[in-house]
Amino acid sequence: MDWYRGRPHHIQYKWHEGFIAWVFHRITGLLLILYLFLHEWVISTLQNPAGFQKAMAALENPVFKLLEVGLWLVASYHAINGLRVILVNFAGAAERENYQGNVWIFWVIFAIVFVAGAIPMLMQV
Amino acid sequence: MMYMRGFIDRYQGSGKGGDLSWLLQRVSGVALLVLLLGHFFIEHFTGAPVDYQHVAARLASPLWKVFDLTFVVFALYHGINGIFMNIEDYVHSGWRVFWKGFFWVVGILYLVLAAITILPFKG
Repeated sequence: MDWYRGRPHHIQYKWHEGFIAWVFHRITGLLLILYLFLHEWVISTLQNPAGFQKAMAALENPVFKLLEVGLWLVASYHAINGLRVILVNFAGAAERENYQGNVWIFWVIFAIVFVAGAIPMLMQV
Repeated sequence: MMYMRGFIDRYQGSGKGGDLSWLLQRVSGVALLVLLLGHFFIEHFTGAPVDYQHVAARLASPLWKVFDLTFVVFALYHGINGIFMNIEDYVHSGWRVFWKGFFWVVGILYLVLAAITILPFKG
């Protein structure tokens, strides 16, 4: 398995706005698939009502309420940055004159959406 | 072994013949945004508690079965395709085949778990 040797896959990373957004996109993506596996596993206990109630009672704990807001942070980041990536891919948002700007506009939109969603979640605590 | 090259390369990375999976990642991403908004609204804005009674009633309805199955299929596809992209970027040895195979199995198992949780559920 040495056929890949010498290929230029050791990229020189540059810490510009878009790269940082991309790193977070990867991290949040991995967290979300991990969450999906756990979530589906918990929901599968629905076939056993007592087991489901036990799982849900554990989730009433304030720690899980905070984790839920963390999940919203991760999910809203991934969703909104994903939309930005689509604009970069298909709508010319990667053009030099507006590339760095779109990352900052994205951070503002993300902050607004996150806070707007987090308030009703925290009001339920 | 040269005749195997085309076959092997198909499974190596998005740089080779991965344009369809790249496009489907965008398509499934947009679909997930819509589905997630629906899911999020139901869980946090309708005021109903997330207990067995409410979740079971929702899961017993055919329309929600369709919604939830669509959601989980797109989410598993998008998530595991994302894992594949990570494998393609960071694993450059024979382990790539192992990890891709491993997550194929994990994906199919979770698809089966979703199907047997959602489809026969009567409440």
